[in-house]
This record gives sequence, structure tokens and C-alpha cells, in this order.
Amino acid sequence: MLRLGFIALILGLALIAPTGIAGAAVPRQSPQTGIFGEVVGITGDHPRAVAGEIDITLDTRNGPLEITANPGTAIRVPGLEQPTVDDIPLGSAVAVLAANGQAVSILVKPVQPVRSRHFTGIVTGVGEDGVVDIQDANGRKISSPSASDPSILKPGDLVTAVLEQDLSTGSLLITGLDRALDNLKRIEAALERAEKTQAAGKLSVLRQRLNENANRHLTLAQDVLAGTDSSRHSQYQERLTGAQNAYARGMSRFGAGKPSATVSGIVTSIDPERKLLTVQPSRLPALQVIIDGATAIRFQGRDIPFSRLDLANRVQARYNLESRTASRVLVSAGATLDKTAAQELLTTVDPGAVNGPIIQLDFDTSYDALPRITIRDSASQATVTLNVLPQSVLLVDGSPTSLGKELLDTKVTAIFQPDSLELIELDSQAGVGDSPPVRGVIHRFVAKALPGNLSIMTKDGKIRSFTRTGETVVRRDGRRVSINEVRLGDLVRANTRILEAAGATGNAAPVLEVLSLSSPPPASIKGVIAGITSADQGSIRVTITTNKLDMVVILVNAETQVVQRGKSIGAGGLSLGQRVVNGAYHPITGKTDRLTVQPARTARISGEITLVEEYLSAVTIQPRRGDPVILLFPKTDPPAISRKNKRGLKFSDLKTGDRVRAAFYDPATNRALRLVLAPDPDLDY
Amino acid sequence: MRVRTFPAKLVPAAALIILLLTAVTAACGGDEATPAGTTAEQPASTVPTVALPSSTVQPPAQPPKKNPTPATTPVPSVMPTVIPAVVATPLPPPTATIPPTLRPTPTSAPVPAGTPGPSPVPQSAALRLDVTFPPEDMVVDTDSITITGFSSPDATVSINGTLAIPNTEGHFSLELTIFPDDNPLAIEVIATSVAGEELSLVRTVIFVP
Repeated sequence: MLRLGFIALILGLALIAPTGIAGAAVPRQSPQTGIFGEVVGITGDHPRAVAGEIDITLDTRNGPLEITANPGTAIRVPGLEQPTVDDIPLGSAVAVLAANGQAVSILVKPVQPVRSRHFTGIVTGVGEDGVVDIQDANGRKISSPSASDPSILKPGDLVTAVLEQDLSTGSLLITGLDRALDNLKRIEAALERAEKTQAAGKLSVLRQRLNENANRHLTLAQDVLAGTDSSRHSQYQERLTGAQNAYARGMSRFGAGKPSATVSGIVTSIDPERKLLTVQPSRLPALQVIIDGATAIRFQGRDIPFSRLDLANRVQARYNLESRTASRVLVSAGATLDKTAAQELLTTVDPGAVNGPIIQLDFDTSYDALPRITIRDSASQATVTLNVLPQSVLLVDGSPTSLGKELLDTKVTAIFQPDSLELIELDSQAGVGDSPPVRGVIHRFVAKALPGNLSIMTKDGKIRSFTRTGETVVRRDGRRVSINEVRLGDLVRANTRILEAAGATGNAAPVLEVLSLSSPPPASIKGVIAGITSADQGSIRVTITTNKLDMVVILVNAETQVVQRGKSIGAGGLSLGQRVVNGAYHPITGKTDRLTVQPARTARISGEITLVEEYLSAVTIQPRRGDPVILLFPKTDPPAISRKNKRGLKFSDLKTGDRVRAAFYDPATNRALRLVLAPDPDLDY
Repeated sequence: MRVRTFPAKLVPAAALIILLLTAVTAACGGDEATPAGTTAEQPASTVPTVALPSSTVQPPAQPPKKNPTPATTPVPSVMPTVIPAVVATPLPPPTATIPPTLRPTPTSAPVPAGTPGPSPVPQSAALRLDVTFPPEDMVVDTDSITITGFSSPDATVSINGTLAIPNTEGHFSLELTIFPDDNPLAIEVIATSVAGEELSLVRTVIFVP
């Protein structure tokens, strides 16, 4: 026993030893280090700052750490082309490659992808130059060259394109293509495997996914088919039929139901005898579906009978493509704000708002000073002094008033411009109890007086239901307005007041006493035009990719002021690759008032390399049509060259006969900026 | 002088306690003294060597054996990295009693509302995405790194713009090269489905030669 004990003791000590070593810092051969942390300080007010050195303090897992950024430090900030240290926000998480206390490179860590994105839609065109046109369910369209072989695509195919944006050139490139029918093959293979291994849970999940994928694919294909002109109708119909048959086979084989599609719109006719429902989508032809005993009709999570449906109800009907019988009809109480628009609008909601008593009034208007009002915020106890302008709205018990000493000690809600501290609106009435102010955007709205007839998306992104009764006071910019003037996307100001808390009278949605609104301001837009398509009434729909590869769709018509280099070019002057440097559009309708654009920064060519001149660092590319183009490859600033997924190629890797999927270059100097080669050998070009 | 010796019969018990403490220390990471912010100061052996697969898809993909989790247990980034882009915020539970008839919605909101798309995939079958390697905030000593993870088998997955198609089990992997211009490297992993779901994750690695 004793001997065993000593053996265990020695073993234990032996195990401790390496753990201790691991905990100690062993210097590496490389002078470089990798550091992760949060930026807590940036200081440039020391003598070394003259030489361009700036100290950055990081909060790391080991405590504060200081590094120095110098003029040679490479800095990358998501969405910025050529950032400097000044562009690094305090509080941002960074990754730093450093050597001897000097930052070699700093990356502000993106919280979400900014260089790549997926875009799922129907292929509407494949050009000879390798440019692929894809349109999605939201009307967005991209036209981009593809690094993958585009010849596998046919108009009418549903595809997910992987997009990559190069900020320096503004070029958009499809770096990968995944056809929906390939997704189907994969899910069938997974189902087959799950069947073999008798994984019941997986089977159930995969069947549901197959069903939902089929529904989405066929819905999109139907929508595009319905909206296309006769010249392409048969082509799209062929692809739709092919997809429907493929899903039917797969779903039948694995017991995943039958192919279905979904129609969304307003009920325009009801035939109670034959149980037919006609649904009118916003931009497509009406569709009639059959309701039978198995159709589930649901409103606010509850089943309702067919007889409860009424004209003008907004519905989503999921129906069997062969029999047109609806398996499910979801009824929504009203129009719902688009999620993208909601997120855009939430950024503009009440940038400044304070709720608390007025503790000081300053009427000293000598030297043209404005009257000032000081309020102590009840939540933070901080005080804020606001300038009262002639146009500031002052309300006492809902009635307009002027600034006077009687306002002292009155509990108010004040909305103000945070930069200038100018008062926009002040409302004397306080909220009920300790209810926090309601701020957000109108997300859903039903004019009929029903419990829960209004929902607001609040600043934290949550959706809250409220009840607007006949007594609810509705104000816009301080003026009382009719309920008919409430719009989706209206901004809900902080002086919106709850009369009755939820549950007070058995009502689950709080009753509103005052609904204070303001109209959403125009949203600004900057980016690169990635796609143009026609829209209703002679307007065009323009898809713009932002620096963070978000996609925004705007509507441009004859009334839009489109300017390039100081000249009005009209909607017809817009083209792919142009940079939108300034623009304003309505975030709900997409209508655009003004757009200032600059010419595309790059030109693009595809074709075959017919000559490589090493001594000139130049290659000649012969496109399928048109004249050859000679591109220069400067050694000092070589362009990025890639072949399929292999990056980092050099000029010496280029050879005659190489197929160029896309070459981006400066049209003024013919300097190559980016070259994407087809796989070698490429027989598909 | 009387010397008091350690009782021999307690030696086995002491040894067992030491063993137990060793095990607990190891389980807790055992390297709290290792600088976290300056990860490159780890001993060379703790910087994982990355296995390089021969193809972009490895059926079934597993974390590279030569790429053990680094000795410094990675702490999750302060910033959220999962962006559930299509998971709609659920509406509050039903609040209204169903009206006798659902009257037409008056044109009080004439703004054309976005047509709602098909209903979302049931939560139980929703798209998945996880990156099993690398962990968040990692320092590597080779300029190649193999990203591994899993998603739904039908998903379209891309890593920094390159497709990484999942196998029948949903596993995917892809080898990336860290070029000097991209060091530190942000690894963008995106998964989408035909049904319209989207998930994404971002990992960051620093290559220290």
C-alpha cells in the first residue's frame, strides 16, 4: 500500500510539472505577437505623435496593454476603403499583429460578414461575357461576372450566388454558384443516409426542410414566371415544370408531402358555396385556391372557420400545385412593415429624448441667446439643457403653450436634436406609473378598434402590441391628426403614453392614451449600382450594394434628380458599376428624390489571353466580341490574380490561352486591378 | 530533540489528493497564467498546427487532429457573431378576441406593404450553423488554416466567399491561406437555405510566423 502511495505521489508530481511549464511564458523566436482586445483609448497628444505615432490602449484578457500605431501600420475597418487610426471606434474589438510594441496591422473585427454575401434568386440572364443576372423575391437584381462556370445556369433556375465585393475597385463578383436543384440532391442524399441509419429524428427534420425548400423554390419560380414577358415564358415554364417534377419525385420517395407554393395578398373574392378564395398579390395576377375540410385557417395563432374570412383580408395561402387546394391560410390583421425598412427606420427614432421634471428655465435672451430649459432625466438623474427654438413644439395637457415659469417642476418628455441640443417637442404629460417611454416604428396597424390593433417595433428590435381606442390621441409632429394619417413606418416618439397597462382590464395589449408620431426622414444611400430592372409606371428599380455589402433597392423615375459630374443625366443615365455618392430615398416606398453618381471606377472584360509580354508586364485579352484590350500589370502595385479559388497568383503565372472570367481595370490607364481566371483547362467558357 | 515524521500511512491519501488536484487543474484549463491578450507568448507547442485536407469537402469532416484546441481556452468574443438574419422576432401571443368577421382592413395605411414571404421553416427544423474550428480569437503559426463546421446538409455554405458544400451529415471544411495583406484574417462563414434562412459567423485569426 505504501509503495503504491509513493508511486501515485511521483505520478502526481510528474503531471503537475508540465502544467506549470505551460502556464509560464516562453519567448518565441518571432518578434511578432498576436493580440486580441478592445480599444479603450487612442492618444496622439505626446511628442512622438509628431512622427505620426499614436498610442492605442487595449483591454485584453490580461489587462490593459498599449501598442503604438505608426504611419506604416495597415489598418482595416469593415466598410471603409482606406481607414486610418481615427476611424477605429473606441470600444471596438480588434485583432492586432504587433512587433516590439509597434502595430504592424490592425483589424477591427467585423460582427457580421461584410466582404461576402449570399444572394438567392431566379436566373434571368446569362450573357456571353459571363455576366449573370439574378433577381430575388424582393425585386432586387444583381448583374455580375462569375468566377464559377456560368454555363451551368439556365434562365429560370433558382440559384444561390456567393458574392464578393472589392471596396477598392467597387467590383462585385460571383465567386460561387449553388443551384437549388443541387441543394435538393444533397437533401435527398441526407435523407437516404438517415433512412439507412434509421435516424428518425433526422428524417423528420430533413423532410420538413425538403418541404419548405420546395415551397420557397416553386413560389419564387411561379412569381417570376407570372411577371415575365411572353418571349421567355416558355423557357421559365420549362424550368418550373422541371423543378416541380424533381421535388415531386423526391418528396414522394421520402414521404415529405406534395409540392406546394404560397400566394400572399389580399382576398378579392370569396365563393362560399364552392369554397373558393381569390387572392390578389401586390404585383402579380390573382390566384384562386380551393378550401376544403383539411385547410387550416389561422388568425393570430387560432383556428377560425372559413366563414370568418372576409374581403380585403390579408392572407398567405399555401396550396398544392396540382390540385390548387390550400393546406393552410394564414390571416394577418394588417399590413406589416418590411424588416429591412424597419431596421433602417429604427436608427432614426428619437436620437435624443429625456423624461423628467423641468428644473430650470432661462429666459435671458440678451445677445440673441435662445431661451433654455433644463430637465433632469428621471432614469439617469443626468441633466440636459436644451435650446428652445421658435419652431419647438410645447404641449401642456395636449394643448400648445408657450414657454413660461409655470412649467417649472412640471414632469415632461422632451425630444431634441442630440448634436445641437435644440428642442423639437416637449410634452407636459407623464407616462403611467414607471412605464418606460415607448419609442420605435409602426410595425403593423389596423384602423379598426380591436384589442392589439397596433404593434410597434421598439429600438431594441422587439415587437410590442398596443391597443388604440377611439379615445387615443394621435399626434404627428405635435399636431393632432386623424387616425387615417397613421402610416406603417411612422416613427413613434418618446412622448407616446400608455393609459392602461396590460392586464388592467383583462386586456393583454396596453391601451394607448397618446400616440405621438413623426414622419420618417429620407434615408441616405451610398454604394455601387449592382443591378437595374424595370418597375411599374415607367420607373426603374435600382439595386445598390453598400460598402458593407448590404443591398438596398430604390425606385427611380422621371422626377428623380440624377446628377453626374454636375450634369443632370436622368434615370436613363444610370448604369452598372456607377458609384452613388449621395442620395436620399424613402425607406418605405423606395422612392428616390435625388441621386448623385460618379462613373464606374473600373471597366471589365472577359475573354482569352492571347499574348503575355513579360518585359512590358502586359497581357492582351481578346473578348468573344470586339477588339482586344491590353492590360498593364505594374510591379509596384500588382493586381490580385486568382484562378477559381486559388488566390495570390503572380503575373508570371499567366500564360497564353488562359481564359479570363473577369478582368477589372482602370479605363483611363488600362492598369489591371483584379484578374479572375477560369480553371485550367477550361472547356466551358 | 524529537523529530516528528510524516505518518507513512497517510502517504497514499496525500498522493490521491495531489492526483485529484492535478485532474481538477487540468480540467479548468490549467494555464491561467498564460497571457491571453498576448497569445503569441504561448510556448510554441501550444500554437496548433493546422492539418491541411486535400479537398475542400471532407466526409465526414472532423476537427483536424493536429489542430487541438489551443492551450489557452478561447474566451468568446465580446461582440456577438451569430446574426440570425431570417429568424423573425416572434409576435406577441394573441391578444385579441377573434372578431365576428375579419373586416376589410381600411386603407388607412396606403403605403404598399412588403408582401410577406412564405411562412418560416418550423423552429425544430431550422437551419443550423456552427464553426468547430478555429475557435474565436486564435493565433496560428502557419499561413494555412482549415475551417471546419457543420450546417444543414441542404445549406449553401461559404467561407470568405468560397463555397464549402456540406456533406450528408452537414459537415463542411475548407482550407484558407492567410496572405500578409489579410493578416489578421476575418473568416466570414455564411449559411443560407433555399427556404430563405440565413445564418453567419465571423472568426478572427492572426498568423504569427
